[in-house]
This record gives sequence, C-alpha cells and structure tokens, in this order.
Amino acid sequence: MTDSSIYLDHAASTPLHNRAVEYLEKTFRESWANPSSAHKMGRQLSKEIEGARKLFLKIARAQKSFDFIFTGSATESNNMVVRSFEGSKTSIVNFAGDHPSVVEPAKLVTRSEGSSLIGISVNENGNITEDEILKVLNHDVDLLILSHVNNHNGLLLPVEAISKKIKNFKPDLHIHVDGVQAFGKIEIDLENSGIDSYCISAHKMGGPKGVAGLFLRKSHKLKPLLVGGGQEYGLRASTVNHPGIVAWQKVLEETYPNIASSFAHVGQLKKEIIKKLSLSNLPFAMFESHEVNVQFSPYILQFAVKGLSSDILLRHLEEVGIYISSSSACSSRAKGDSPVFSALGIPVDIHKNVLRVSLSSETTLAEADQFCDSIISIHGDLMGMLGGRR
Amino acid sequence: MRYPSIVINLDEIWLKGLNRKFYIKALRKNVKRSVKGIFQEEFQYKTEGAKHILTCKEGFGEEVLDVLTKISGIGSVCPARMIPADFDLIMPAVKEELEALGELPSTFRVTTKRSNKAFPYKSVEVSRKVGGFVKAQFGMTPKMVKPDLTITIRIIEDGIYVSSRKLMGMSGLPVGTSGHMVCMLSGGFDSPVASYLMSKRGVDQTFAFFYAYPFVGEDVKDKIVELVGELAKYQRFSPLFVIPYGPIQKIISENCKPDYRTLLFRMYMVICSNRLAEKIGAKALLTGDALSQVSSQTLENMAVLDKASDLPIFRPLIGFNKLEIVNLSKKVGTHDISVKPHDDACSLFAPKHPVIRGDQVYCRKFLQDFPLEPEIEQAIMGAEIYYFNKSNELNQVSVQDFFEPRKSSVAVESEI
Repeated sequence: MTDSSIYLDHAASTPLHNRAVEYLEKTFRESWANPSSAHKMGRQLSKEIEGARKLFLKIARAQKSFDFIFTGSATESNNMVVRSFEGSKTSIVNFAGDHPSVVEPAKLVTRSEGSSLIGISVNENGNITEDEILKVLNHDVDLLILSHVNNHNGLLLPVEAISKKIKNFKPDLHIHVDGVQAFGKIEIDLENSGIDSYCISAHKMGGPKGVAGLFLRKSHKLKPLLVGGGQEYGLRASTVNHPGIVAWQKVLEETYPNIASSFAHVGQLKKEIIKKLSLSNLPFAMFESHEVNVQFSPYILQFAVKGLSSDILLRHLEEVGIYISSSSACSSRAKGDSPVFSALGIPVDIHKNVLRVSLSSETTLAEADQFCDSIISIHGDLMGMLGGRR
Repeated sequence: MRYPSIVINLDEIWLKGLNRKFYIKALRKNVKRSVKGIFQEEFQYKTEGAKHILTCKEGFGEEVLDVLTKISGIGSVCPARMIPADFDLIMPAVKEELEALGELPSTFRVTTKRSNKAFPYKSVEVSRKVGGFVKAQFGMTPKMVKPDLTITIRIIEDGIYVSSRKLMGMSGLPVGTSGHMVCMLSGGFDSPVASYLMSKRGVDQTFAFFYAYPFVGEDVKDKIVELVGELAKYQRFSPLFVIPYGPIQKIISENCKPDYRTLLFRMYMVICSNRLAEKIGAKALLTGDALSQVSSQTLENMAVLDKASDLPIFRPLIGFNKLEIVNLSKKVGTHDISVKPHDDACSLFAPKHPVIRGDQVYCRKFLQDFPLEPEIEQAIMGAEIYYFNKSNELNQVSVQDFFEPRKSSVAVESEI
C-alpha cells in the first residue's frame, strides 16, 4: 500500500499496527521456541501468553466467569461454538445477514432430519430487538447467534442487554455473539450479560492475521475442532501462536485507552461523509434508519449509488488509489441479488449498487473528503459520458 | 494403454492436385509441433501415400491421440500395432489387439487395405481368413454393415498395421495453408466457435479482445485467456492481443447518439482490427456474427461494419442458430468457459433501444468527425500479448518484443 493511496476497507482487514510490526521483527528472531516445552525458553513464552490472556479478559470484563481461548481465526472460533451443537434435532436461531463464518456452520449443523434453522427478520427500521428474537424463539432452541456489529451495514446491537432479557425467558439457551467488528472499537461487558461465547479477531484491529480468540463462559462445554496436544484447555490443540498473540496484545495496549476518542473521531468522519454525499448530485441512498433506538457502528458505512454498478465504481476508485468494498463477496454475481442484503432489508433492485466504506481511527478528515470528491467526480464523469450528444 | 504406431488418414488434402505437397508439408510440421509439445519420447514420422504413420518404441498414450484429433487436415487416426509384412504374423497380432480391448462387443467386420502389391494374398482373402479366425477364437459374429467393431488391416510396403480403433479427426486443411485472419473474440459462445470453424479450414489466427477496463473487471480478461487456451489447441501459433478499449469507448459515448453506442463501439473495433491486421500481415477479419442474433448483427448494421473495414470480414456462423452454436461449443471445448457469467461493458453502455438499422450516413460522418487514429494506435501498442506454447502453457510477450522485426518474432516462434 503506497502512501498516496486511501484505504477504506478496514472491516475486511487492517494495516498491521507499528507496535505489532516492531514486536514481530524482534520476536521472530529471538523467541521461537514452543510455548508448551518444559524448558525455560518454552516456559517464558507460556508466561507471556498467559499475560496476554489476562489482558483480553480484563478488557472484555470477563475475568470472573469466562475463559479466553486463542484460536487461528474468528471463522475457527465460530465453527468451534456452532459445531459443538452438531447432533440430531438441533435447533438454532440466527440472522441470515450475519457473516458466512457463522451462518454456514449453522446451516451445516441443522442439515439433519429433525433439526431446524430459524431466521430472525429485521423490523421495519432494519433493527433486531428482543421482540424480533422472541418472535422466533421457542422452547426447543439450543443456540442463538447474534452479531455485536454487522460487518455489512454496521448494525450495532446492545448484546449485553438483549442477551440478559432472552436468558430470563430461556435460561439454558446458549447465546453466541460474533464480536469481530466490535472488539477494540466498542466496549463489551461480558460479565454483565447473558452472553455465553464471544469471538474476536486480531487482523480486524491492527493485529496480525492467523490469530483470533473466543471468550467462553466457564460453565459451558464445547466440542473441540482440533484435538492433539491438549493446548488451550484441551479445546484447541495446536502449537500456540506466541508471536501473533503477544503482538495482538501490544496493539490492544496501545489502542484500547483511546477507544472512546477513536469512536468519537470516526463518528465525526462518518457524519462528514454522509453529509457531503447527501448534499452532492450523487444519487446516494443509505439504509440506516433514523429511529433513535437503532444504532450503527461509526466504523462502517453502507450505501448505494443508484444507476451505477458497484464494481464499476470500485474499479474507478481503485484507479485513483482509493480502496473500498462492494461487500458483494457472498452475492450472486450473475443475478445480482444477495440473500444477505435481502436479510438486511435492502431492496433487491439496488443490490448491485451497494458499497461499503469502513474507517479506522487513523483515517483523516482529508482522506474522507478526498473519497467523497472522487466518488462524486467519477459518477459525474460516467453520467456525462453516457449522456452523449445528438 | 500405449500404442506403438498411429496411422493418420488424410481426406480432403488428398483431393488437392499439384499443390498437394504444400499441404502435406504444412500438416507434417503441425503434427510434429503438437506431438512434441506433449510427448517427450523420440518418434518417427513416415509417409506412405495417403497414410502418415507415427511410430515410437515406447508407445504413444491417449493424450497423443487426443492432440491429433485437434489438428485440422487429419481425417482420422488409428492407433495400431505394426508387424512385418508376413501373413503368418497377422493372426497373433489381431489376437493381441482384441485381448487388449478387454470386453468385446458382439459383432465385427474385418477391412483389409493392401497397397503393397507384392504381398501374396489379396485383401479379400486376408479379410476372410482373419474373419474366420476372430469368429472361432472370440465367438463374435461377423456383420458387414454397421458392426460394433471394425478390425482394419493395412498392408503397406514396410509392414502391416493392425488396428481396431478409429478416432475421427477434424478433416479440413492444415492450419497455415489458408492465410491469416484477425479473430475478434468476445467472452460469449459465438466467436470461439467461429475460430474453430476457420481453424478447420486451415486459417492462422491472431486473436483480438477489446478490453473495456475499468468498465469491466479482470474476470472477463481471465475468461478470454482461458478460451484462447482451448482455441490454441487447434492452432499453431496464435497470439492474443488484449487491447485496452475503455478510453475509446469513453470518447465515442461522450459524442454519439446513445442508441448508436453499441454499433459504433463495434465499428471502431473493426477499424482497430484492420490496423492490427496491417501490422501483423493478416488479410481478413473473423467474427462470430450470426444474422440477427443481437442488435449489432442485423443486415444493415453488419453492412455498416463492412463498409468501415478495408479487409473482408468472414462470418462462418452467419447461418447458424443459437442452439446450434451452443451445441457446437461443447464439441470445441469452449462451452464450459463461455457459460461462466461475466460483466459485459456493453451492459453499462447499453442503450434502451439500440439502433437496428444503422444509418450509413450518420456512421460515416461520425467516423469523419472522430477518426481516433492516434487513440487506436495507442490502444494496439498498449495491448497485453499472450500466447500458448506447443505444450499449451501460457506465456506473455511485450509489444516491443512482438513487433521487433525478424529477430524476436523468430525467437518467439521457435520457442513455441
């Protein structure tokens, strides 16, 4: 990524934080032993891993009732939880607009005769409240899956409150929350919630790829995906990724103290972008509800530009060094209708025009302005080009 | 299964008169190139009248037979076992041949062709004797018309070839004997099939793809390269020019009546292909047009394109129905690639009501006002050039190296 480019796809992945880069350069050279080894070298690394673990539990306010397990990816964490429910007659409630790493395992696990996968629908404001969940929850449900922040539109759910209310209704339900787009950006209080498991990922917040985690309530048992050397409480056998874990810890130590100010800064940027685009000639459509009770993460902005296919805009933006997403990874290219977008409440005729901008605390106002200017100008050029002459 | 010999049968080439040698030389060269591309062992190539025979001590595999069926000019190929010209050796060879087949069908016939007049038995006698032997040994029933299995015995000067399998080839004429055309490729079903039909008639082709990035993504380019990979199997050296066409489309679109957009895009593609042809010595264009299949293929619209072209435009699919083309694409091997969806730039620019009877006067005037010669030259010289070598591996060559006179193009051709 050159200096002159503007990267606005942080929900997909983030640049490695400097602290992580520095740390990794050093540790790859010096600290490469196996943390499970009985000798001093191994024990030292193991100690550092435990130090990291404590920090994560502290930040998630989960020290008392939770364990934290390091995994290789959030997809792995999600699979670990959902596939523990594999068996006959499993009933899962989920939302079709969630990330495939949590939707696909749910589909897999409920394939058998007698099992069921029940979908939550968003209400008329595009929101998911307890009401929406309770509408489909019945006494047989084993697992409820929610996302703290939706990776497409940034829908932010008060998962602590929702999970507590649901647990009142059904105490033995397992509630799993995908916190990938939230952790490190939005506070989470696991202790004070009905959440039983919560997954997070390093490379969505300045850490390296290949390391992620899962908070798991101590009383809950899971079926491990990987068995072997018994690492991570016997739940995730594999040589523990010491460099990745400690690098992630360093990032968290740097960035967490600024969680509130970053949130505010990014919120400002998002407002700026929305304002600028709305006031321009761009046929700009947003799906966020203006209802007071519906919250969205400021880090994600989903919108559509009517009349222009998202991939054409993407390519033109790329030509001027601006990288955003059309979040069409799961959509059907040929037909242009995405079941994920439909679940979010986006009208089908606009699916091919949907774009996603995702910001970081490092994004500047100048970059946000540049993005707005570029997209407005590209749209203008293309429309002018299609206007033709007589 | 490995075959020590392969008998190649010619058909149309044999009809040629005084210039037959020219065709045979071309065929020989093409066969050697294609076989060497996939077969590492030493082999011999000899001609016996209308039969060309490949022999190899280690034996040829199925992949060599497959490659031969894609060389135009070849009528059919028969994998065979060769024995010295001795009648007593025929039965054991036939026995071996049939045993190697495994499960045998119920009916058979024996066909003997004898060009070695010194051989003591006549063809009919040989057929009768071998027929009797096969009936007794294997219990199969002789059937003259449409038998399940035909055993062919070819008695030629240096030996006897016994075969029980015949694979049909492309027939037609060897590539390189009918001139050189620029083939305008799109990602659909039609143009690849058109290319195949002209390969069959012996036409050397250089492919041109007009790439409308950033209006389309890279996946359509990948698709075209994949298509050329299949079509190259029927060719000897056919580079693909991926010509950046977005800038030209932009200028046209900014200045033309919206309903003429598609037609004018095609008109400039034809002009561009003409310029490319001039540079590479091609004498005609080749397209997959089928009459009235899409708006730019109406009679009047094709007339506009013809008028804009100095070179003739060949359209082998002009009389084909869509379904016929799609079915043929399965035989050609391009169906599964063509069927993959891709973004057509045309759909972004596609006017609601594209013109179906293009006005020659308007188009001529537009061309006069916007000759776009520098843009066309820039587009051709800015092309990415790909080619597949004789082992069907993808390579790329720069425009500079491609057009460097003599030295590099010889080097490039000899590498392939």
